[in-house]
Amino acid sequence: MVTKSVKSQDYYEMLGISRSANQEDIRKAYEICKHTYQDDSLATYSLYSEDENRQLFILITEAYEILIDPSSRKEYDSYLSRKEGRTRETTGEGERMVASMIGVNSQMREESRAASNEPPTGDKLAPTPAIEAKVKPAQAPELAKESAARVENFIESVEEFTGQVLKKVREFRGISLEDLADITKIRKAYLVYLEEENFKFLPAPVYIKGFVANVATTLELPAKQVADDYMQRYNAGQEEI
Amino acid sequence: MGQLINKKDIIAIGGGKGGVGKSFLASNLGVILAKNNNPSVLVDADLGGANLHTCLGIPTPTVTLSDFVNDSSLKLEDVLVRTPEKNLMLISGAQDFLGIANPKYSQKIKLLRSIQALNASYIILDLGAGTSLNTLDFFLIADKGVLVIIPEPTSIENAYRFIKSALYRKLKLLSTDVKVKEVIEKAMTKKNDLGIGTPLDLIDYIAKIDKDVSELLFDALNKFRPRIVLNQVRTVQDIRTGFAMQNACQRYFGIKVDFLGYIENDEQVWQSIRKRQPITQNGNYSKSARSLRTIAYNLLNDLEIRPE
Repeated sequence: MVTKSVKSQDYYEMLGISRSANQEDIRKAYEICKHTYQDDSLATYSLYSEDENRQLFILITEAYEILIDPSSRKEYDSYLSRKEGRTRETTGEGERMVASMIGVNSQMREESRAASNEPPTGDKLAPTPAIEAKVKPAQAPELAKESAARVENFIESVEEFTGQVLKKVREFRGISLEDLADITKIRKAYLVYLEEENFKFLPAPVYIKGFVANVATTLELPAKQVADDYMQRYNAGQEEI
Repeated sequence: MGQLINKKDIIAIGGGKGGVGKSFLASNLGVILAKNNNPSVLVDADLGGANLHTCLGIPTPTVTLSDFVNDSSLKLEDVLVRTPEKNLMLISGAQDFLGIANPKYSQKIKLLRSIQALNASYIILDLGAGTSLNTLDFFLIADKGVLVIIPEPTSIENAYRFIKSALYRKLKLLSTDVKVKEVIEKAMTKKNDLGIGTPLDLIDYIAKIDKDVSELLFDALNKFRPRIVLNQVRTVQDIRTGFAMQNACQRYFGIKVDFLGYIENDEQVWQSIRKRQPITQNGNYSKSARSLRTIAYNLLNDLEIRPE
């Protein structure tokens, strides 16, 4: 057996699951990791610095995001078996660590670059380049004006910014989940969980707060107020047994 | 206990911090095992701060471990004391005997050997707080070591310190090379100039000195398998902390930790403590009593709980 530090672990090892883990196993493992590496985690504050914790969590989130999506997992699995077929050559770990901070699936990008000596382009899983905001100005001007007033009235009547309110405002503004994902660079699944207030499947609170503020800004809502309201609901949700 | 028992398990209960429920767990484990027809012995190895007899509701014993340590004519069997539980015997710790908290090496070896020779199916060592070498050695000779933790920062910090100290003590005892020993010693301090942060770093570092030794140590690391029990649990969040600790230990120390279970902070627990009677003694079916039985079961069968 070889000593394995986190940097040389594959995504399965990072989450502490077997290669045959199902979606539920992956979710559960990520749940525990969230609790392990979130800010102020009782379990890690005395072992790792805040920065180390955050970096570990980013790496693990990267692993989770690849494995939870069946198509990217399939691609990763075939990459793994290709890699294991070759004689094991290790790549610069430090370099990979940095790469992983920049975007998703650095593991594959880095490896394929090392294998083929090519610049890291054309990777199917690489994040798509920034897309211009796609807020649809589809309605006729008059109608748009009227509906805009309706939206503002609705927003003014809101007492608490909940996931449901976010969804309603998004729909009022004619923005699809896909568009919102493009604009905010937040995964669509997370946006759905945000709107459903499905806290279990969301990452650590610090990320959620960022997500909510980002979404609020995009929907032209008062970001701070929305984030505060939302996090209050989140915290209340955590206290229930 | 007429018959000689061959197969026996020594179980050490530690945890680093005081007041987290080590004696509470030890006494209840003793009662549960005894009730299941296992002749068992509880040893109060909290040298200097012994009070296991109080948890069992018996008066301060007249013979204690210190008699055994100081009187070479005595056998460990001679200081066994009966408890209200038929199959359970107690060896009481030294009450206030100055000096015994730090027995001489030869005394310690004699004690450890005699413990291993006790005629019982299970021997439960209730360790004191802290990470003194005595405590670590008791923990390491045990077949199974259990850490009692409460979901609070100080307890968790102390548990990690305990794990690290026990682990490094074990690695140091295993290595004969002076140079390797030196490296291990240095690695113990958090800010060492070797750049060693975790046990895995340490083994990587030693691999550069001696590949064989590093493999031996890595093997020891894999076999080091402390159990944890979470006590005074109040919320679901608290339980998650147990799983998170398990996760962190795997990554940081490179060791597998078994999460045996958790004990709810219910009223029955403190009532039993006030009454000086183990909660599992008289058919108590409160949540906490049931949890204790689950913990005992998992401990004996090398099982653990899993996140729901």
